[in-house]
Amino acid sequence: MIAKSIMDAFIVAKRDLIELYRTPLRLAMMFVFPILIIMLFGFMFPSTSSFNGVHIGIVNNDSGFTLNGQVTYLSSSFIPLIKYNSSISLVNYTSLNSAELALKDGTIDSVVYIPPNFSSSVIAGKPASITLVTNPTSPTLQEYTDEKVSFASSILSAEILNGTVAKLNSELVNLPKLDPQFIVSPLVVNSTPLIPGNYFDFIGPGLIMLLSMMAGLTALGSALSREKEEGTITAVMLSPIRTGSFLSGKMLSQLVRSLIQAGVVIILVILLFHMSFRGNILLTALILILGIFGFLGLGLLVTALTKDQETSQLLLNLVFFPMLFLSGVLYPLQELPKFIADIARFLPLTYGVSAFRQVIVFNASISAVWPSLLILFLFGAVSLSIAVPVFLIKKGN
Amino acid sequence: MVEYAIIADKLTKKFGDFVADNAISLKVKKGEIFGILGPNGAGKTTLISMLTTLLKPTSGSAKLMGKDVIKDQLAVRKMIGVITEKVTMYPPLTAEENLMFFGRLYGIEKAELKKRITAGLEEFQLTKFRNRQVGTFSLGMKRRLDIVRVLLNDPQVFFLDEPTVGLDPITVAFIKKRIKEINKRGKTIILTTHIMQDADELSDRVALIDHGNLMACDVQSKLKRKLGKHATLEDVFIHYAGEQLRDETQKMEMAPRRGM
Repeated sequence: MIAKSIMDAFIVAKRDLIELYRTPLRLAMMFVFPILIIMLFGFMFPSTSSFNGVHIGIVNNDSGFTLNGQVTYLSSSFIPLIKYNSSISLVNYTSLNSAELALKDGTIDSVVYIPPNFSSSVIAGKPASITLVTNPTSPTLQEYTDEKVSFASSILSAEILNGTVAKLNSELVNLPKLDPQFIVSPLVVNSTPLIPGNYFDFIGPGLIMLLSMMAGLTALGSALSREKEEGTITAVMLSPIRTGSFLSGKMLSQLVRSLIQAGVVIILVILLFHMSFRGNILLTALILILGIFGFLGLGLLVTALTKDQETSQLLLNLVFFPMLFLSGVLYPLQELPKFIADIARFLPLTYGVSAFRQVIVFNASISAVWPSLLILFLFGAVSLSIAVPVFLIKKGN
Repeated sequence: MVEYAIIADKLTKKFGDFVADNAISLKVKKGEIFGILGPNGAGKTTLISMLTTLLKPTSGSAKLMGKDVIKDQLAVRKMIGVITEKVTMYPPLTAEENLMFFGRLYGIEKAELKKRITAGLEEFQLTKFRNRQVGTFSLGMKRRLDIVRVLLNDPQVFFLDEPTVGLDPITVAFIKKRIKEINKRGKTIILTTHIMQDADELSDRVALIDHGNLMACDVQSKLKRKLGKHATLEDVFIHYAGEQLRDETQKMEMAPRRGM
């Protein structure tokens, strides 16, 4: 009896996979959709170095300083530095008011105001100030322009300091010479990444794990709905197959296709976006399997409780979107407000994403990730132990 | 001594307050063609669903070839072949793949299954479409393939729900001929249909169900005689079911399918 049940599950799984193979569009979308999602998110949440079409308004009121009868403007050294290594466009304005109006109507993205005493203050040995007016409705753009203007400011400051220190050193007799860097910052922090990597190392594993969750959530729902719509579930249920074998077969086929999907997507993300992959393949597969398993029960429960695919999809969205935004897929939990981060710790995907990332990027071993895997397994086991009886009761009605 | 393929005893199914079938008792003899008639929403589908293990009765019991439909579901399923109104084949799979799938679920060995598939396709004139996807088949071809499917397991009792609906006259004649042949092999056939001519022509006896109650159960000639010399089975149907249109049918028909 057990052998028949296992065999039946394999027969159902094989049939599902043949059907998938015979449906080229579904097969293609299995790979195209994840790559598209990873591309979109990967380029949508980039490092601040890839902004395009940024316009900065310049209000240059610098009146310069006179040396040996010649007027020199420090601002003329400062302004080109803002554009350094970027595609930023600079737009000149005659007054701060007109520049602010342009910022309000969206013509430009921020304003750099250089006051009349900019050069003369520096020559007089006093700090000169530059004002950066930004658009508060775009925090990432605000951060980007702030970074660019600060960079320009630090370069010019270093040049000014070099000149000042050189002058000072020439006047110091019998004393150790000063290093300009020491005056700027006596303590230096060297930030070194543990391993080389890029943003796709963060978002790639997160999104692949998210796709596994989606596969788990929607696997049984969409498969059963399709069978209901085509009437084939009736024929299957009229044959001598146990409901458990039928469901196991459906889950098995979903596991196989999800593993194939994840494998192909991982290879494509490595080739196209240079995502790191240092993990053990078996451990990677185990996490993916547990990621799918963890959500099968929840998907089945929703399917059992809803009459049609549309309603179940609406309910599944309630699960999907919080998981997408709160489980560390797109940004680290540390970026979330504390109470939301606390909620995120109750979401099983949080553990799946974290374990998957650790294994893929840092080659973590099972001893490092087993607590996360246990949580996924327990969540799956508990939700299935609730969902299967509910499904059977609903079926028998 | 008469042997019965089906014995139903006060079979009742309720969906909340709605009674789909109300204490239906009937006996179907082995080897007979038994027609179940009734207007839409009368309770026919629910009755068939209970007899074929798809639905659990609220009360009452039923035995099929001596096996309890509630307690011994798997044994019952091995002995039945069910053709539903909707064709139950996977469109992306070929005819052979579909038949292999269902045949394997019945535990038939691959080599034996291949032989039966070949014979079945030959009998139903589908051999040249063996490796074609079912999605490309006409309704008539799908229906014929559906019958090949249920024949694979050599079942003792066939349930045929509207087997000829929507088909052209040639296919209808072909299928009716096959139904008679299957019956001649000693198989019991339960036929539900709205086509009174088919029911009259094929059935040995008929049962008339309305509002979940068994209104009549007898050979057609006796039922017709009660209404007059020239009465037809359609007259019998209207006599028991009345002439009022059933606007509530959709609700009643859908009810048994909840959860499936």
